[in-house]
Amino acid sequence: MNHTEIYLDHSATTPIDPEVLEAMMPFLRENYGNPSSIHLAGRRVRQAVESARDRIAHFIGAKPGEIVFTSGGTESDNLALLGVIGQKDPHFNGGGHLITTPIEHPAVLRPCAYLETLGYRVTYVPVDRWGRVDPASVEEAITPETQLISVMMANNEVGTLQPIREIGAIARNRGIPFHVDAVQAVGKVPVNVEELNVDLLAFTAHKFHGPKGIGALYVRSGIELAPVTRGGHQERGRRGGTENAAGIVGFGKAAEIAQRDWDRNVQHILHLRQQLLRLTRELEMVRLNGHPEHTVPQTVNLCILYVDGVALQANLSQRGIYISVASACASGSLEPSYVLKAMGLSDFAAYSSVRFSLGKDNTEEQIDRTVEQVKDLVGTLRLVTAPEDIGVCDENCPCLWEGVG
Amino acid sequence: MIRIVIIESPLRCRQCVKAEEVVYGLAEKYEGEIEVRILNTLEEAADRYGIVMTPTVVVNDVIISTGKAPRPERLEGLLLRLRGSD
Repeated sequence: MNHTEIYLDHSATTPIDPEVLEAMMPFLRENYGNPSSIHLAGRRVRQAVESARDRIAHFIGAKPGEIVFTSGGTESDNLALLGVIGQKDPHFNGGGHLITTPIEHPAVLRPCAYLETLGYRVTYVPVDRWGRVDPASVEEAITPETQLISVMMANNEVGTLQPIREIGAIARNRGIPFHVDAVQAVGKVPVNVEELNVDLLAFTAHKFHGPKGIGALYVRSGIELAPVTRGGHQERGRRGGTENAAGIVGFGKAAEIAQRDWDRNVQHILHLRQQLLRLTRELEMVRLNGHPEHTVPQTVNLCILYVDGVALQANLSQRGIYISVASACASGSLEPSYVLKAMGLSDFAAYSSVRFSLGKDNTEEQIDRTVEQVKDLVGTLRLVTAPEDIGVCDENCPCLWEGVG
Repeated sequence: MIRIVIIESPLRCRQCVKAEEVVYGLAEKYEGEIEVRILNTLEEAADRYGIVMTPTVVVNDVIISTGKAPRPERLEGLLLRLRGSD
């Protein structure tokens, strides 16, 4: 990325920190031993892997033995869901029940859909218009057959934080394992698995300036998991396969840096967020889709009414500013974001929504430039809408919400 | 002069053909005021637009629609506004 480009898609991935890359290099060059080998070349690497494990465990308030390394957040989520269910029901005969939300990442939704085809029942507890779930609704959904509750900590599209501690307390009280996809939370907001009453927690390095291809699943001591990736005895038999030593070392370093620079980074991001939110004040008909208070500060998802989100994103990309839209191409037509739809937004509002996600290396000048470019483009793009279609909108405008009118 | 570029898929998808109809229809109506250029995604000149979906319609260097043909009345509304500001 050259210095004139402005990267505002940190929820997708983050640039690797130079200190992380430096820490990884010896394990890509001279320290290439297999950590499972018993000779010195292997044991050197084993030591580095375990040292990184300690650091990562400390970062989330866990014990080192509770960290299972995987290839990333998706594998961690799959291992949690299929591992817990598979431990109870090795032949996946069905009949059990899971609780989750409709705004989970596909890494949770797809395993749930797969389990449904095998005869498990899944309850998708609805979310409010900010994407937040009510713990009482989760409790209400529990049945004698409930085997797992899975709720993401921070939503990847809108940034909304869920009441994890409260849901965790309910799950703990009922003896039901509680899984949390924390991929968008770790490195951005404080995460402590003890305080949050969590049994399984998925996270990944590349969301906080570590390398891609390495993640982890926290598994509370006492929780049994059937492995999904079967092979060697690595990760105490929970996940076979030669460890990605360089990735693990990078993961550990990223966690160390995140802890070290936490206060400074948080203040910086909060400041940039306030700057970016100028768009909600200086443009008309703009709604912040995430929760105004319970949110990761990095994520700003805006519905800019009467603007095609994909066109705005394409124009900004052409100008070297990189943001994202959630609409997805499916069978030749554009599908609106399922997260925004689950929050009750209309197709119209969903198509008009774009996501900015900030990073520690963004500057005030970059955000100022972005705000000005967005305002300029919105002015032109709104002209594509016939003047009589533009009305004055507020939070209760019927075109924002599905089923209102 | 208003410059419109339509970037199409090499096989000219259904929406690409529709986009051409809309744009050429307006070019005919406002004869001499609109310059139209057609590119396909394989051409180097299309690279600068970072095309993800076709058709992409660009008016005076602003991408105004992507993945679908613009509505004729909406595109005309924009052109009239731009004309008025010339």
